[in-house]
Amino acid sequence: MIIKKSSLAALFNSLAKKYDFYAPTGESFERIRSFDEIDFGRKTVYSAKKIFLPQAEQLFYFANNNTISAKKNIKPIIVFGLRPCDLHGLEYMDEFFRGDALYEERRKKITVLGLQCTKCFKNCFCHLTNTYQSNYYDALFIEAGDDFFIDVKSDAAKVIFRNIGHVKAVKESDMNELMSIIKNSFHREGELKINDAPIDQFSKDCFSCCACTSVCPTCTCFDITDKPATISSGSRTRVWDSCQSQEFTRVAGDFVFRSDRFSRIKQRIYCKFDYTKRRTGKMSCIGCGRCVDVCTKNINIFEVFK
Amino acid sequence: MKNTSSSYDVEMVEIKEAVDEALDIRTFVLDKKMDFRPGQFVMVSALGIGDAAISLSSYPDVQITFRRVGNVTNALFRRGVGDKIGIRGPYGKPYPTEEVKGRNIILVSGGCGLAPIRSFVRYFLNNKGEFRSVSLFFGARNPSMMLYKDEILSWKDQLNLNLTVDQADSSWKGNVGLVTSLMDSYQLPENAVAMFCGPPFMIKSVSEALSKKGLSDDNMIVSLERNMKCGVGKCGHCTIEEKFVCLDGPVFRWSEIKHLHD
Repeated sequence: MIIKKSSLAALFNSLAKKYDFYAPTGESFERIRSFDEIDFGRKTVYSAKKIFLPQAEQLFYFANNNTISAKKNIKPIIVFGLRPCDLHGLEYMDEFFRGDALYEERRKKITVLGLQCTKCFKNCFCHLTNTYQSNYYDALFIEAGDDFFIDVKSDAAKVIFRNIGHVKAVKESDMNELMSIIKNSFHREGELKINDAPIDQFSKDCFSCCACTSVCPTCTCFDITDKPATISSGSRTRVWDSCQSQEFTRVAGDFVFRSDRFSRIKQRIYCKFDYTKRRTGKMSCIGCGRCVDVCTKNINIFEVFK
Repeated sequence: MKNTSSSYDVEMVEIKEAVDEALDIRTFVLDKKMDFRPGQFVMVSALGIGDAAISLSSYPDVQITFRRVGNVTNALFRRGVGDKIGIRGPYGKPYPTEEVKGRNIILVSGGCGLAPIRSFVRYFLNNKGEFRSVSLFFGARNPSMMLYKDEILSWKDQLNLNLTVDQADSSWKGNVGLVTSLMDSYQLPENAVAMFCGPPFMIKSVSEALSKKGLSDDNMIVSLERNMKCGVGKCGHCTIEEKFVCLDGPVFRWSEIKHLHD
């Protein structure tokens, strides 16, 4: 369908009343009440990961040496503004967390409205990872002048657009033409080969602040910690964790398997570009370049392809 | 009430018996029935402190043996008979007990690495006809650090027993040296398969010693230790390259992992 930008505001404002509506507001994806809060013009610093995998999530509560279920009451959620790379990241996460009851319970409440990029932002590498287009969404928005072309795909998305009234349909030929223009402007041929040489310099620069892993849409690693509330009660919580810390591979007796920075940076780079590919056939880096944006030492992991 | 939908739920299980094996090493016999095989592990919880991956050290009953070294194991040390601890599992791939039937088994371990090996020995004692022979090589830091001491000595009529300590005291009459020193004069039997568990340097030196005697990497089965938080292949802590030790291991064929780096 084609919607005038001016009529999108009314739709989003009414959806924001019924749903927990998340959208990019600048640095991050936040819950919005009004269309005006959306920032269309930039790449967020943080990915939308926290909506799907909260930074801290209770697994269960305990009191007097017994466990008590952590009942969740999750309202239906809409996330707007996931870029194609983010959609690839979400596809990876959904696959990775298949069978994880907590993840799946939240995930099935979330409707995903993608937003097609028509140009690269600074430090975007989707042309290397082939993630500038995706069909992993409930609906996809494409900006075209004063209009949005919208591909409404899933039933969940149809429900959202149900009451919109009469709108023009997108001609399939127009949509295909638009997508091929996008494809041609991003596409790059060739096989990627990892060169270890830059990792040496990275490990001299890096100070293991772990910002890269926290902004990454596909860094799924977590820690499980017990948080006491009283002396005999509290909660067991899973919290985002980072392979860039020494703590990550420490075992009883204080042995650390990845004690040096080189091995930890190599772990992240290979995890993104190689290890997950060996397991699933697809690399887990989606080329958003957020880790490059956020690094205070300007480490650019894509230099390993030079 | 238990939330049965989550893979992270624990079952509270009573400690039936507690045995001090050596300094800071203790075994809990748990009041629980579990369908598992030797080599698998459980996640053990001290609620309020956390949970830790610990090998099942017996068969077919449920026992865990652990050293007091971290937050969780320190907290477990404060629990005793009648207390309850949290358990989830079993997790991981077991020793390939079916595949090694009819063969000559070599078991090698150091220190607390004996825990999963003991599970296999107990399996063997229950199913003696299944194996040609079993030889055990075990090294402890010193005689007082030798766990399951009485039980080990009771095995001496059932299997070929070879013990060593790094440092002897006046009570020790046996071999002194690393566990590999026990193998110097050992004649590798035909159709042999080795299973070992211990610290990383031990795994390396044992694999080299057995390799020199002609044992192929396919016939070496190792059990690895890593930091584990979830036990179900999600938290990412235990990975070695593309392998998840909790899912693909902790029992691996040496040929499968010898080329991998942390």
